[in-house]
Amino acid sequence: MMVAIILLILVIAAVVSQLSKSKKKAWIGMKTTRFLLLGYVGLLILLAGASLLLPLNSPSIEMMSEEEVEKSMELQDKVMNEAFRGSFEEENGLDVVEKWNFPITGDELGITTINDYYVQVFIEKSPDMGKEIQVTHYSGKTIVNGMDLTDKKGAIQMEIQGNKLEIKNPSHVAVNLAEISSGFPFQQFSSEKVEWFLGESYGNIGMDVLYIKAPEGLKIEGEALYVN
Amino acid sequence: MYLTESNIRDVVFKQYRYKLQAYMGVFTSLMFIQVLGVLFSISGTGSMGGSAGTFSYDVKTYSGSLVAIFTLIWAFSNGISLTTKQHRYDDFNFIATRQVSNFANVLFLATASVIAAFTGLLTTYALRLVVSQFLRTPSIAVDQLSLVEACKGLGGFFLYILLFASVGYFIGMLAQMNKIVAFLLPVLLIVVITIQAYLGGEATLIVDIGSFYVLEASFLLFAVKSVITTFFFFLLAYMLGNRLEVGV
Repeated sequence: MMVAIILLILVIAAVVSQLSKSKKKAWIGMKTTRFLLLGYVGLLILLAGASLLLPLNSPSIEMMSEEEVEKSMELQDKVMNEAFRGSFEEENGLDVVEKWNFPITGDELGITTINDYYVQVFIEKSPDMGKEIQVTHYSGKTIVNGMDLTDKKGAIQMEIQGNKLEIKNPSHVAVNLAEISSGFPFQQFSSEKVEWFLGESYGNIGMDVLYIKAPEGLKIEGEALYVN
Repeated sequence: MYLTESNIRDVVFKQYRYKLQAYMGVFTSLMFIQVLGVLFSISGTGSMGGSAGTFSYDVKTYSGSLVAIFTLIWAFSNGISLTTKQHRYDDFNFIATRQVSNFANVLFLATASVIAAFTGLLTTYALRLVVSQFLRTPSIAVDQLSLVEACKGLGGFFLYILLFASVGYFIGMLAQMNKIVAFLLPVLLIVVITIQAYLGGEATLIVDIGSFYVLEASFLLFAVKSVITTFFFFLLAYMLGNRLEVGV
């Protein structure tokens, strides 16, 4: 890496010194150079104007501050840690993606995932539930460099077949994005964080959690943890 | 007593105007370097990706930093090239002292820095246009600079360019004094970095020096830091220049 940088500097320095020779050895005449420079500045002004006028081909993505990112990560960790210790609150602060209510016909329920899809399932037996189960899909925030991509994720599909609850994987989603920044000399005095050449980048894909509230007498089979 | 008396200021400005015309080549190299920077930047200055389950993301970064760095290297090289024998002999077209020649060089470098900073700022907008409109990639602007922030950025970039030009000018002058210095300086730098890496496990010399300027969020403080450093390097170069023998 260091060698590549030094080589690049040397190449640029060589090019600059060759092109910057004084008028006696200049390979382009003074008038042509002046004309080129004016043309270059004019073209850049036109491009800059167009860049400011034309809307950015921007998807609707909410930007999160560093503080918000930190809070949402902490929240996801807290909820998951508590759930693994056996305590799960319905109002836990995570995003509720979808809710389903399925009627139950028998005393048994099997939970199966399709296409080897893995999702964390927590079950709470509740006396309030009659002959139905309630499934809630929670999701932690998916954040990449401050961009909230949570709603770009595909939704989990759920179906009940007899006494089997089938959890189908969401459709594959590939998000391609371009992040444009002015560069360090211009960002340095703006409200944005000062960054070195490439800056720090981070990404967190939010965890999907299914929380099932089931009647007390229902026997459930499948990969799940009991809470509360 | 002479029939025509000229003051230093007039001679400096005459020589400065001469340099602006004679050294137009530096702007050819500026254009070349900045276009090269934009071309390199179009392929992205960084990328990151990840996947979990059925979701994957790929984020490419397009930053004006590369053009800025290329411009700083250009400024550094220009500072050096102004001290070469060929350029110094050009000054003999005028009846001038070394003091006059140095002032004219500083003025020329400052003017070139203004132009480079201005075009550097514009290239960041050009890059934004190319990425969002021509590459058609869904784009997010990380920073939306206000007019004040853009002006501060422009001023800051100008000071950076002038700083690099002054360092180049000083090193160039040093190398003119003694040719071995031209060889010793990069060797010394690599040795210091290597020793630091050996002792501390991390070569942070350049990062530490850079952080002193780059991590300064206050424009005023940054201006003070860079102006003092630039002045210091030009002063040293001036003092070295005065010690150069005629014909060296």
